[in-house]
Amino acid sequence: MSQPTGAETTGRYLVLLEDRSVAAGAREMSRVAGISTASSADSATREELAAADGVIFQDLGIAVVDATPDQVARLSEAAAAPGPISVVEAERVVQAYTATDTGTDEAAAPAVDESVFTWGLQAVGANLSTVTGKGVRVAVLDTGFTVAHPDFAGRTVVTQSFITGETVDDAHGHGTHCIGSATGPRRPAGGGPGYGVAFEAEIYAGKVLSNSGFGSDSGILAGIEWAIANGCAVISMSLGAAVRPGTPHSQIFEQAATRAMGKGTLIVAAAGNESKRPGRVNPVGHPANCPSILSVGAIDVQRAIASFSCGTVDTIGQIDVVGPGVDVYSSWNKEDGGLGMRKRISGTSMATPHVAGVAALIAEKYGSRGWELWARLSQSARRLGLPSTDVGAGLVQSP
Amino acid sequence: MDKVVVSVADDSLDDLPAVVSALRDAGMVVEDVLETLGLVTGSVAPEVGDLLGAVPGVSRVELDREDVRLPPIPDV
Repeated sequence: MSQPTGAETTGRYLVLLEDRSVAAGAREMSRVAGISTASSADSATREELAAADGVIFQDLGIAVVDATPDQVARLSEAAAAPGPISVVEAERVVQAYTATDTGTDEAAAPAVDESVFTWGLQAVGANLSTVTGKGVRVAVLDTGFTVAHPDFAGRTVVTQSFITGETVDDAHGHGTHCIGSATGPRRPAGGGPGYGVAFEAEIYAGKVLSNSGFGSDSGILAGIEWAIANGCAVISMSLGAAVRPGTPHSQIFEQAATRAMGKGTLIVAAAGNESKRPGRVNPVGHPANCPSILSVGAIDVQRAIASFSCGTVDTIGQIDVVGPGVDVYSSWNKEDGGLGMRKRISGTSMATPHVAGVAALIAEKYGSRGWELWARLSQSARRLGLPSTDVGAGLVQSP
Repeated sequence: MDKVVVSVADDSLDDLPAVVSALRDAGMVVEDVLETLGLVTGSVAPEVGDLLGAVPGVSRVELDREDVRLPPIPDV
């Protein structure tokens, strides 16, 4: 029997019954331990409940029973054996939490060794994961991609330009950097650390921002449509427009996001870099401020919020999760700064593809899509001891 | 001309071609129809833009923002 440690107990016991075995569970409790239960579904009277040894909550498949130590022992034996009784636990006393002053208790992280994997991969636990993103399609809507990049030789890459007069070729570098964080290699051809989260995912590079880094709503929406049509589980969008506090989110993008979710495509977007912390926190930009788009803030190697990371300022637009977004090493479109075709830059733009990569790993491991993918990202995110208005559920973690 | 994005109501998604044709009749120059998302993009004369919202099957009309961009890369 599982015994709660350090918790006050009531003297009653919780009995978890196997799925769809409530009636059999009631019979089994009576047979092995002589315990009679009243069912919550039978509208039992107060007298009937008082006469019974306990009550079964039908929808939950859980019984709460009074039991002697001898009866508990027999129930526990039944739980250990195959049959309708699954788990027996002592019932705990629960009470309201009292507010305490909680500061972050995480010691400053030591300097991270990046000789094998970037700090970002390590922070999201990608290097420890057994999944790779294989079979999952990840769209990155940005300035395009350097298709001939040696670090991506042999990868499945599908491209499409939504910028009139420009091919998908990334003359800027930003798109190639984001694609690297989301889906790049663990053992780059030219040496250096591994930097891609979902390193076996299929890459869908949509160019919705020009080589000078500008785009329009209609181009981005066309890119979203293309990604959905291609069955992408996740769309990474490191783009946006700054908004003033109190500005309503776009209802069109919200509708696009909910329709995308209905087709099994999760949209992940950068919150924006307009803050100057600690003095100024700017609100989450467009379109990340839509409720059904997962918005991403940035943390640094010490797990502190990045000074530029936008935050939850009012009731419109909130930070949902954070990713590694300071001094992020990833692929670049050309030689620039002595790292080969790679570069180290910062922004919520860099955090976003890390989250998209983790989403791809979760999609592969659990077959999750849409809202389930969102829920699993939040549920498994590492809590950071920072305000939810800055980091949402916390730092996403690979499955 | 204003560039706009028009969204089609859930209950009219099956009649998308009819809605697109009504938008054209109302003066919209249609550039793209995003069937999966139920969106129509294009342009319209400023004085006509407000009328598109009254076209049957249209749920929302918004200006097509042209200022979406890379977030500025910060100096950390």
